[in-house]
Amino acid sequence: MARTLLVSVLLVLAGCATQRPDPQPIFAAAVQAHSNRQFDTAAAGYERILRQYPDQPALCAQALRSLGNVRAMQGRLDDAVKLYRRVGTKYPACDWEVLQAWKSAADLLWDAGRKIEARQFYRQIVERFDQPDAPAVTKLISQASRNRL
Amino acid sequence: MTVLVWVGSAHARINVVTLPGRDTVQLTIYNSADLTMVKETRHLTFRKGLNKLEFSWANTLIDPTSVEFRALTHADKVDVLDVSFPPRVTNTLEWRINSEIAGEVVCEIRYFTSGISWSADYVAEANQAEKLMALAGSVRVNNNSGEDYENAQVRLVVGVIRLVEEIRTLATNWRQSLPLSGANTSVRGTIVDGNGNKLRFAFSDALTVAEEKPRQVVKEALSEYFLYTVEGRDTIPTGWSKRLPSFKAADVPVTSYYKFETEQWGNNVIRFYRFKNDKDSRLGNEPLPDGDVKAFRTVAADGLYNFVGATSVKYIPIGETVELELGPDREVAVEPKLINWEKTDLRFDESGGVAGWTIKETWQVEVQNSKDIDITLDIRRNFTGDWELKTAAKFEKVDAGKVKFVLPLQPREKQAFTYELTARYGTNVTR
Repeated sequence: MARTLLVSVLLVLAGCATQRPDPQPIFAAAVQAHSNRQFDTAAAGYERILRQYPDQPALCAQALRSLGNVRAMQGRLDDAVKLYRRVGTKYPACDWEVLQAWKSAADLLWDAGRKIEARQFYRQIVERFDQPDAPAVTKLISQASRNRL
Repeated sequence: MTVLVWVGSAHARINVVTLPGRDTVQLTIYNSADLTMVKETRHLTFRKGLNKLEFSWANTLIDPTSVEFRALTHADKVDVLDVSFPPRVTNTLEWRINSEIAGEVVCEIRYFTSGISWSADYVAEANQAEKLMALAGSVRVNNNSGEDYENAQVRLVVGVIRLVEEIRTLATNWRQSLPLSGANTSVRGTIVDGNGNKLRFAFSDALTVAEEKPRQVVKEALSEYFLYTVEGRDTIPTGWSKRLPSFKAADVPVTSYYKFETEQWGNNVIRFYRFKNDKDSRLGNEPLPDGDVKAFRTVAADGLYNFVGATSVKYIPIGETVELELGPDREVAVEPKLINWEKTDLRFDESGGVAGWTIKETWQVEVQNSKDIDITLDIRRNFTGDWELKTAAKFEKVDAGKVKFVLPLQPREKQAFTYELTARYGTNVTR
C-alpha cells in the first residue's frame, strides 16, 4: 500500500516536472507585450518566469531586468531601481545582465537628476567591470560610467 | 536584428532619420565551435552632434556582449561616447555617438553569433578512361541563427587549429547561458587567418574580438588551418540551408585502381580514385574541407554518366594525395580458390601434445576485368605464422603478414595466377 502510494506520488511529481511549459514562448510573449507598451501583460509574463523557473538563473536575470524596464516605462522609478539592483544581488554570476541592470539604473537616476544615487551604480560598474581584457562594449560602458563619477 | 539611427541634440526632439540596410555582410564560420563572426557595413547618415544608434539582438543567437561599432570613414570625427539599454524594449542596446561632421559615414558593426554551420560536398566526374576528372566543390551553409543575412560573403575556417578547442569550450559555456544571457566564461585565444591577420578573442564575462594588421604569421597554426572564401555573395535567410558553389576544376589527373582484400571487403573488389591536391593537378589553391564526395564516370561519347560511388573525405591539405574509396565494382571480379591443403611435419612434446606443424596451401586466383577500359588491380593476401611464398607471379611484401599482387588488366581480360604458401607454426618456426 505504502509502495503504491509512493509510486503514485513519484509519478505525479514526474508528471508535474514534464508538464512545465517551455519558458521561451512565455518570455517571448512578455517581450512582445513590452514592445507593444502593454506593460501589465508584460510584467505578468516576466513575473511568471521568475515564479516558475527559479532554476534558470540566466532567464530569471533577464526577466527581472526586463521587469525593471517595465517599471521604468510606467514611471515607477524607485521600483525599477530596486529591481535593477536585485539583478546584481540575486544573479551575480550573470555578468551581462548585471551590467545592463546597473547601467539602466544609473542612467535612469541620472536623467531624473538623482545624481548621487546614480553615481553609486556607476561606481559599482567601474569597480566590477573595468577590466583590461573586457569586451569592447563593456569597456565603453565602464569608461562612460567613470566619466560620471 | 535591427539597427536604427537616431539623431538629436540636448535641446532637440530625437527623431528617427535613417533606417539603413546593410551594404555588405561577411560571415566567418568557425564550424567546430558553432561560432560565426559577422562583419557588416552600413552607410549611416549622421548629424553633427549627438546621434543614437540602436542595435537589437532580439530573437537571434547573437552574442550581445561581442557587439562592436566603429566608423570606417571619418573615424577621427566619429566618437562612440556611451552604451545604454533603452527600457522601452528588451534585448537592445543604444550607442551614443558624437559626430563632428554632418553626412554619410561608413560604419562597421561586428559581432558573434551561433546557429550557423557549413558542410562541404564534392562531385567528381571522371572521363571514360578514368584518367581525368572534373572536380566541383560546394558548400552548404545552414542558418538557424534567427537572423537573415542578405548578399553575404561566406568565409569558412577550414581545418583544425589548437585554439579551436578553446573556442569550443567557450561556445559550449556560451550556449548554456544563451539565448537569454551573455557568457560568463574566461577563455582567451588568438587565431591567425589566411591573410595573416590576427583575430584576438578575449572572453572574460563575454566575448569580443579584435583584428590586428598582419604580424608574424604563426606557421604551426597555419599549417593545419585555412580561411576559405566562397566566391560570390548570396542571401541566407534564417531557417534556410543554402548550397553555394565554391570551386570547379577540369581535367584533374586521376588514377583509378581496384583493390581486393578478403579481410577488409569480403569478396568485393573496391574501386578507388586517387588524385593530388596540388597545382600540377589543377588544384592546390587551398586545402579542401571535410565533405561527402559523389563520383560519376562518363560511359558514352554523348556524355552519359554513370554513378560510380560515394564516400566522404577528411580535410585535405595542399599537396596531399587523396584516395576516394568508392565502394564495390561488380565489373571486376577476383576469385581465390584453395586448390590444395596439407598439414605436415607434425612434432610432439614430451607429453604427446602437438608442438609444431606446417601448413601447405596451393591457391589459384582468377581475375576478370569486364570493363571496357584498362585497370590496375591490387590484390592483397594476409598470412600468419612463419610463412614462405612460391609463385611465378610478381608480388610485393606490404608488411610482415601481407603481400600484394598488382595486375594491369586490359579491357575484358581474364587472368589467373597461383601461389604456394608454406606456413610453419610452433617449434617448426625457423626464424
